[in-house]
Amino acid sequence: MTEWIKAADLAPLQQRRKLMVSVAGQDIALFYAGGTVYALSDICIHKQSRLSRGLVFKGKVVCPGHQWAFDLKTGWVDQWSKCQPVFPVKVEHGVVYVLPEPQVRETEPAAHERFCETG
Amino acid sequence: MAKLLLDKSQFRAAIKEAMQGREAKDASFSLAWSNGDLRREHFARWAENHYHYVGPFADYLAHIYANAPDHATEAKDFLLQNMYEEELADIRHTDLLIRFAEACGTTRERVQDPRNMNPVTRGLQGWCYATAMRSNWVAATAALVVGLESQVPDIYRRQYPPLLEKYGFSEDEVEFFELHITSDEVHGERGYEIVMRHADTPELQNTCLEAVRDAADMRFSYTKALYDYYVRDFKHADPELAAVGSV
Repeated sequence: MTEWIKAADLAPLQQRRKLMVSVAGQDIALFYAGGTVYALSDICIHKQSRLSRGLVFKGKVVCPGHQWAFDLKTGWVDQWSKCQPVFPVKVEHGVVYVLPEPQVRETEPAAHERFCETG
Repeated sequence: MAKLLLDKSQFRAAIKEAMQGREAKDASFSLAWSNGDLRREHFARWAENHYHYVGPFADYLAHIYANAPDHATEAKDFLLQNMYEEELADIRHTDLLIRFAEACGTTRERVQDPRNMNPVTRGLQGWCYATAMRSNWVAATAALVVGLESQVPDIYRRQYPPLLEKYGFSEDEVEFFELHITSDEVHGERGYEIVMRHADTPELQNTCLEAVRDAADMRFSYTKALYDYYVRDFKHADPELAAVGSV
């Protein structure tokens, strides 16, 4: 059974708003937005640019390579109907933990499932 | 009678309406492109012109950035983000344009040489600089980011597939177009955010609508002129004039 793994301390992530970490051999981009931590695979599914070098705009991380805009919460990109893997995250006592099990959607998320509705 | 301030949805609809009937996707060069009527030398001439319109885009935005007041922090950040993504985030967008140009048979040197743009392109570039430098910063954003840049996804959604299917380019050669379907959607949306928030009087909203209308006219004229100069079946008898193109 996969276990939660410490990925980072919360304080530096709150300051920098994004951080690249390596968890169980996977490069993961952490984002702090709307008071919540989100974790996406750092390597873009399109052309392998690093999302941790991208910018967050309206609840989406914009890939620096081709500006694919991934919903922070679901990893969904509307323009191409594809999904960046996301990881479950929890924060306890100022520490960010990630469950290193990538989750990929096959279908478009409903509005209430996205960052913009809840973040 | 005094004009009333439009709410955000009314203002956004008015912006869309201001562009209607003058969108570059409907200009003669765009239609010929979509219909498969162009040849590689036409795309080469397009690239030699387009470089001088989009190449200085970060320059234009930098002027708007400088004119935006300190307290408009988020708007300034959005402008900076657009500049960063154009120039530094990954591959420089104009380098992708030059890659396409080279696939069309022209060279980096010819693309970068300003003597190879036609006078209408020169006019568009000058208008972009003047608008960025001298207009109200919100109206300049409306013109350049909303009026010009936000049109791009609609244009390239039509023009990208024929490049692969009708004209025989490889995906690598036409990466510039695929990129801009998504990048300018994000860039244009940042522009909308700025204009929606900061055009906060009826007068400034009206100025923004005029700026969007002017921008759409400029881009339409630029695109139409590409057809007039390089595609229309007309050749000057004088070889020097023939080299310049028609009109």
